[in-house]
Amino acid sequence: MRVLRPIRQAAARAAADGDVLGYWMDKSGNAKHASQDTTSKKPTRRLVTANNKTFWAARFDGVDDAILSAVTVSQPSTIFAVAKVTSGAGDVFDGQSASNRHLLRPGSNIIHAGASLTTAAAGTIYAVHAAVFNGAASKHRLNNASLVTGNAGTQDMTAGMCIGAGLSGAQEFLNGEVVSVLVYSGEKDEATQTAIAGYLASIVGISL
Amino acid sequence: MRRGFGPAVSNRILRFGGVSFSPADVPGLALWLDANESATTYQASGGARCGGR
Repeated sequence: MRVLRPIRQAAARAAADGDVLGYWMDKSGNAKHASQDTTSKKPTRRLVTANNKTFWAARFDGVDDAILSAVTVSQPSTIFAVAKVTSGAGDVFDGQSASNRHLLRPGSNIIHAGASLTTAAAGTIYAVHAAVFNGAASKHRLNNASLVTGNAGTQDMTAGMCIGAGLSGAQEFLNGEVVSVLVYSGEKDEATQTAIAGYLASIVGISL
Repeated sequence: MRRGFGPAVSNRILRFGGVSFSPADVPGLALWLDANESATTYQASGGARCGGR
């Protein structure tokens, strides 16, 4: 006897400007796709123009938007993000546990993995951030230029990653946009960082 | 077939000397989220939750 199975309805793509973004596929091949079930907490996918380029970004409302991935990484690690802060000091990404943090807060230019490594704020522009989490030798680069080297703590990010929000409450929700996030294990050398930053900068029209 | 509208962004760029580069060429890639590819972005979650948010 033939068994009838329910048809799995394909999820609609977030293809149009303003569509909510509930599922963001991981292009690395590791299937660490980011997701958000609650409609009010989903970022929106927006078509934006800056630096004479038109590109897509995930826009977070700074209130409760966040999207989550189960990706894990241990120190040393290198994380790239193309993001813009509209206002405030929200987080582009953070770990999902207080003892497993990898944080980037462009509004006050902090990277944090148990300790805060801080430098001057990036401003409300699209920028390519590179955060190397490596204990006392952690580094933060902005548009492929070194900002600061120092202690960002020794925590690994082993409980997943949150994009668009941090751990410490409402003040850490990002009011801004994220174009891309790349997570690598290991500290990447400057030549490799330059290549990756160049790729990301080309998307948003930044000259490095 | 590509759906939606707006710019397509290649996974690769040409660098000096015509050498092609993709972030996936670099060992250790654990996660790659890219808002510029409609084939990777969906309105429904379609997957299991992680974390409490």
